[in-house]
Amino acid sequence: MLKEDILLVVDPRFPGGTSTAFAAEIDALKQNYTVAVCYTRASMFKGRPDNPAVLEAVERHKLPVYENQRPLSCRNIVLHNPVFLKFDSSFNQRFACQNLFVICHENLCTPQGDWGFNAAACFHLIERATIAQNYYIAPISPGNREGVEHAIHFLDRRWQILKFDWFNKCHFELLPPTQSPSDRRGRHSRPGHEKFPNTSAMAKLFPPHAQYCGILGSDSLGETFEQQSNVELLPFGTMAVAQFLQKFDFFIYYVNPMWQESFGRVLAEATAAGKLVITEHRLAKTFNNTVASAEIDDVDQLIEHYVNNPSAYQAQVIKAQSYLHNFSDASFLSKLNGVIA
Amino acid sequence: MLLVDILAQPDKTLTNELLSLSQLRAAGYNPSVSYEATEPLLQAQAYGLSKYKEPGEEAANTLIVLNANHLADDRAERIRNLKLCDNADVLLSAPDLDVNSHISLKNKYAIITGRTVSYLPSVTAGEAKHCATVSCGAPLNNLSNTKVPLCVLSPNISEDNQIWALQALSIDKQFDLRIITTGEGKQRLRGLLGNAPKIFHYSELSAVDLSCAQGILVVGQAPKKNSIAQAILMNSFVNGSVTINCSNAQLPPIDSAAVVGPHDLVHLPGYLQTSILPSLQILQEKSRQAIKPHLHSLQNVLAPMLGEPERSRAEDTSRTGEKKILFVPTNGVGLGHAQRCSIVASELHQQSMVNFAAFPSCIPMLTRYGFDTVPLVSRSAQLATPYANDLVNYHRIAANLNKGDTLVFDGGYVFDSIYRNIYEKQLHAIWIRRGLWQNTQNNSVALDREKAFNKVIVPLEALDALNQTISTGDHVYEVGPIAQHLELDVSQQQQIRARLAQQFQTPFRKLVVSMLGGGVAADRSAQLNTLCSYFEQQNDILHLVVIWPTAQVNPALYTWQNTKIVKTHHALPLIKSCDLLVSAVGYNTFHDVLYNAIPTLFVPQMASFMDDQAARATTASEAGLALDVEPTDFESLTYKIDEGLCPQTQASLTSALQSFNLPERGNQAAAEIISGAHNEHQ
Repeated sequence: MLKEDILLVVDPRFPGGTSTAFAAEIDALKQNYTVAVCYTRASMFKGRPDNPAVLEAVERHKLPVYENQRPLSCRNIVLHNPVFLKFDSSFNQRFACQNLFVICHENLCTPQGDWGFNAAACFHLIERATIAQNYYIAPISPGNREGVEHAIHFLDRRWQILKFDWFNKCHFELLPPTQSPSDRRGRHSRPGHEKFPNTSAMAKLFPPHAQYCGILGSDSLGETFEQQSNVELLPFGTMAVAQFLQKFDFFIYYVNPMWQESFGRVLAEATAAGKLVITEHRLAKTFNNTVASAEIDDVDQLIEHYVNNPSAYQAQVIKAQSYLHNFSDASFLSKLNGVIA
Repeated sequence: MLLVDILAQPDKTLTNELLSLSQLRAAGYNPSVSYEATEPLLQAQAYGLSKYKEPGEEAANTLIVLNANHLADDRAERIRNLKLCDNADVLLSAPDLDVNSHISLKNKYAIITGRTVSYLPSVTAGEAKHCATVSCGAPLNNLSNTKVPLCVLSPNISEDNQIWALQALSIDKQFDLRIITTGEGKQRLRGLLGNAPKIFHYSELSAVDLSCAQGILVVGQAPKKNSIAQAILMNSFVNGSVTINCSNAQLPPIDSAAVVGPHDLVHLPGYLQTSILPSLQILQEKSRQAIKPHLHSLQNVLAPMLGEPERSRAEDTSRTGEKKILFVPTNGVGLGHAQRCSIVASELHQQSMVNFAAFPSCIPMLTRYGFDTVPLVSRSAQLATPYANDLVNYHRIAANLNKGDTLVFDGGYVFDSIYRNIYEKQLHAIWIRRGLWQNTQNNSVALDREKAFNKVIVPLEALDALNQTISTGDHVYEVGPIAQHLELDVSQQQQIRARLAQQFQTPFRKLVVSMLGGGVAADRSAQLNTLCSYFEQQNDILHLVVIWPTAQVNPALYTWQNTKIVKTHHALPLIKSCDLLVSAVGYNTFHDVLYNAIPTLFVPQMASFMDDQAARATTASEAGLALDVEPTDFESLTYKIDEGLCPQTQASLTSALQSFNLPERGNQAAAEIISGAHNEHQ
């Protein structure tokens, strides 16, 4: 039995969100708990390098690291993102613990209710590798939770859904909203097709009559806005996000209807930067509907309303910002204490 | 509208993709096809793909993606830009995938298309799992046939005695046999059996066109991974054929419905006679009972996903209405094929149904004869590929024919445009094929394609020594020579000569007409110059160079005083009025000469791809019916002219021609065969 309170299990090669969230989680957990780390490597990331964000966080806190060692026994084991097992038929680890938490960074289901990946097989591998008293599946947002609630019917009965969301920890500096908002719109994301609604929806969200439209991560948009001089298309990674956010007042974020964000960290980031976020209803739930949400056809009208009512604009941004504390380390630790204390 | 998008697989032929498309079409669906080739198409692929329209402005209500797993970024972008209805169904066809790839691919397509995505069903067949478009049977047309359709699929022909067994079947008149094998196998079978059995290689036609309805399918070797053989098996099965398994393997998914046959094909003829033919209908019914064919019918499997098909191939052929007769003469060296067709077509009772599809050089002539003619495109070095013109012709011919129409082809080489349309449109096909092919010619491809024709009309040569047997069988009909005949008495001939003298303001005593041919076969300017030069010194002779109106003329010819150029499609009155004809020895002119008793000096035109003109010239000369001279013997040419213009020679030639016992002309007989066949096919 490890002496630490919590053993974090992760494939250190996860690109993007999972590794960022993992690193932020170490910072949070270290405030209350002793933590160890287990690196496990699956075929999904074969040949890819370890993510520096993970390595730096582990190094910064001088955490003990276990790799190729089994069995590992700890009171609490937190396994991040089971999707990493999706190409494997075995999981070469053995764990024993009181509480096993499997954090679903990746949605288990699509908005249509289909599997997002072969989650049943991944959970089955984890079951076979672990002896635990409590098997928790931890969603990371309300939208993500819906998929878990759908999927759990297809999993072994030992699994139970954690009562609170294992959200991304957000430490953004809050900037004040502008006092004179204008119809300047923007969005940023990775460039994949899943991040964008279809062409006609994009044309409505970033119309020619807007004063300015900026899209960072526009790589896959092709010729969609070729004829529109008010649209600035910026390939992914060509501008720092903080700098980009200064270019507009409204952060307009809709994704492909056949896909959904697990959490929506970009919305929290834009809100913290003082931007008024308008998004789809299901994603607004992550923020307890404190960010504005609308049907695509109604976005123009909503922007016009806020442009004509700067005070309403500022009130809306401040309301959304005030909710961000729910994603703080303190909020997370208090919820976790309730389970593992 | 159904749209099929094909994702290219590197280094792969489009075999399964084209197979899926043709099966879909046979099942009554009419897909548009979107395909971006990564490398130049092979000829068969180009013909296969060209049958499907490209996506237009209309939004598709169903999208099928073939090879869906080959999704690169650029292709994703292409699919994303396809025009789809808001509620369009997206169906994927992909090989066996593991569960994660299966889920992941489906989700990718959902994101790209913004639509709900599912997979086309697939069925394990042979040793592979195939998409329903391959593993389910499409409807075929049950053409009325007095013989039992018998298809031998993938026979084991490693031993000669197996091949002789197939030969025994091929001469059994109870069966309409077709053998389907590999390209190599076909070559070996043809080498031993010749052209008599109908032998096809797997990719020669679509599986739909190769399959067997309401007959007997003998499986020599199980299809295993051969998707075309699998489709033929399933097409034949769902269309009521008894399947006889002569292989030593099972035939999933219909093994229980198959009858076990002899592994050794030597026993097959006897087995068919004793065990199958006497109870064929009972066995067909048993086969239907043993396993429900509707479970394996492509229409039934796809209908829940694609809706009911617009039409099926079988329904298509049952349409009533007046059937057309389309004559398609090739353009050889001259207009001989077109002229021969026009002579035959003029004799047909069903004049209102007759149309032509012909090359531009033939059109004015055919129009003058009163036939509506669809223009075909000639081969040209300017075109991207050697077959580019034929690809256009393929579609022009197809557009002018309905299923069940009659096609009459006259030519030496059966183009893909002709061959494919015969099967795809289920035409009643007749080949007018004159003989006298040169021994050095390789006609194996042309003769191989004879199997597509229901009837072959062989217009005989008037001089029997020139006749040769190219192929035999019940379908080959020999008719007398196809030739024109013109009644022209002496006074009418004098009137024509007087008009010529007046028109050309050249009084003459003797009239010589030259029709030496030319064009692609040979340059005849040296012979013409020799003739013109010679006649320039003869003040009492008018020399007419008669050519087709579309032929090109060397301007130098216009400088001669005694030589005049006449462009006409109606040369017969002129040559019948002349004192001497100097002519090439093509089939038509040769027989015009014989049947109209015209004193002639033959100057054969020779090229490797032509008929044997020298043989005609020599035979006629030896029979005393004409003079002849070698095309390169310029010295003798003028002597022969002198000889031909000598009154004694003329009298001798005329007398010999008039007294020669010529066979009856075959114009009407050919027309009756076509007419009868056409009526029989209605």
